[in-house]
Amino acid sequence: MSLDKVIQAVAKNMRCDIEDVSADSNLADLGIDSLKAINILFDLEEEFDIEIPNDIIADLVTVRDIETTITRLLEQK
Amino acid sequence: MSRRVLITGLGAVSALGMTRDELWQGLVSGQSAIKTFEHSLGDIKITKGATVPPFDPQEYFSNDELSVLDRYSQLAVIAAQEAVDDAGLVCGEEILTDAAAIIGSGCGGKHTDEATYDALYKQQRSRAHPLTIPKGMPSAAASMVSLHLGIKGPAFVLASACASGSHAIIQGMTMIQSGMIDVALVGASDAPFTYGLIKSWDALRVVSNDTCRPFSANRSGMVLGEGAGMLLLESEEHANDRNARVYAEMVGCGMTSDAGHITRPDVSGITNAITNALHHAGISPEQVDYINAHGTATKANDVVETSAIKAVFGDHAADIAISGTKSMHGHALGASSALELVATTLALHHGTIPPTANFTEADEECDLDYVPNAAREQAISTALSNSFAFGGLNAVIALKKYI
Repeated sequence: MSLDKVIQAVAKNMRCDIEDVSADSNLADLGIDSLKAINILFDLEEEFDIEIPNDIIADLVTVRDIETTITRLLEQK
Repeated sequence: MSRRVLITGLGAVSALGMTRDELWQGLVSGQSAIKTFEHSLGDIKITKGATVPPFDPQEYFSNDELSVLDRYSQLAVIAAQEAVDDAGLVCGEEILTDAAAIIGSGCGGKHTDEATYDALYKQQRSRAHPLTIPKGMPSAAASMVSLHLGIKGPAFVLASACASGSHAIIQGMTMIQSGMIDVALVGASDAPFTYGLIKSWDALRVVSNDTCRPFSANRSGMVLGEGAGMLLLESEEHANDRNARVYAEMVGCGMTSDAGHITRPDVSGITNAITNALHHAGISPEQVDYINAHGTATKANDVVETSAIKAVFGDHAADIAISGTKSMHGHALGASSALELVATTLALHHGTIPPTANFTEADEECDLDYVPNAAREQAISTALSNSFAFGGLNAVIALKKYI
């Protein structure tokens, strides 16, 4: 569920097709720089009403890393 | 020895249209772009403005570019690109790489700031949009012009309210005169039609719901506008080396501050600014044929400006053609002074003086030649552009035909 939302947020911000993004996609390979990343995280924070802490952003390497983080944050709510 | 500075490119986005030509055609036809707002602004009493005609930003920018372009930056980049194209320059050329980009703005990226404040304060949202800072920062227009045109020399935004454009243009001129740079893209941009800003102007009680009638006895205040005016300046040597088409020479400037009242204009501050411009340009008062006035159509400005012109020029004041073009493009705040210098440059270039539109009633205290309602064919050799800002910040620019 949240994986689909992450992929949608990535595709929307990178203006690419959803099919071009998968769970294993490497964020850097998708061309996601720090400014793009904060836009994606902003959309996901809005979507799930969560706060993604700054100190874990550097550890997000793949799309799945974002999904895992969101799932953990949702469980902690 | 100070170097000569030439104007070789012009760009303009205004209520009269998206291009320099539309601005000029509107001005010489005496067409006022001031209109009643199509959409209600809620509890705001102001009903009229000179807004840029509806345009599709996607015709000018990609979605990626638009994500960081406040409306005021969009207008700045569109006008800057036109000025560069007009000068026959191409992005990526070394000429532009070494150039300066100095942009004035009265209010900066207000659309962006207000959208975020609305989300936080009114909608009680818990997050600010992450691009609020880079998009809304007052310096954004200079960054965006630099980025879009590949300008890598000095680039910054400066603010002096309604004189911002003139101060930015003067900064570019003096940098070229000094030998620091050869080419400068200068001008100003403002997009003030946001709820909070219009509401704030409403509170100041200086905005007319009739129209803008500079120097006319029945004038009732200013009318807000939006837009961007840009000029490409070059040292004489640089322009001639590449056989550039020259519109006019920028020969001098005068800048003073009133150190007086925060909103009320001061005759001596304005008089000194005009006198300083003549002195700096090395021209005598009798040489001046045309003045593009600050001419806001407030009761105070137009009388004070007329008095200052009389104080500087004496009997010659009656022989000078004076026009208030805010009657047509509105008062686009910092951008006004840049749009007016574009108009002054084109007046010199074409030998046509744009009129003061909406002039219907002579005023005893404003008794000079305001070129009422109809443009005038008249060769001009020397012209001034006046800009006086809230807070008593005055700037006057002198232009001459380049011979």
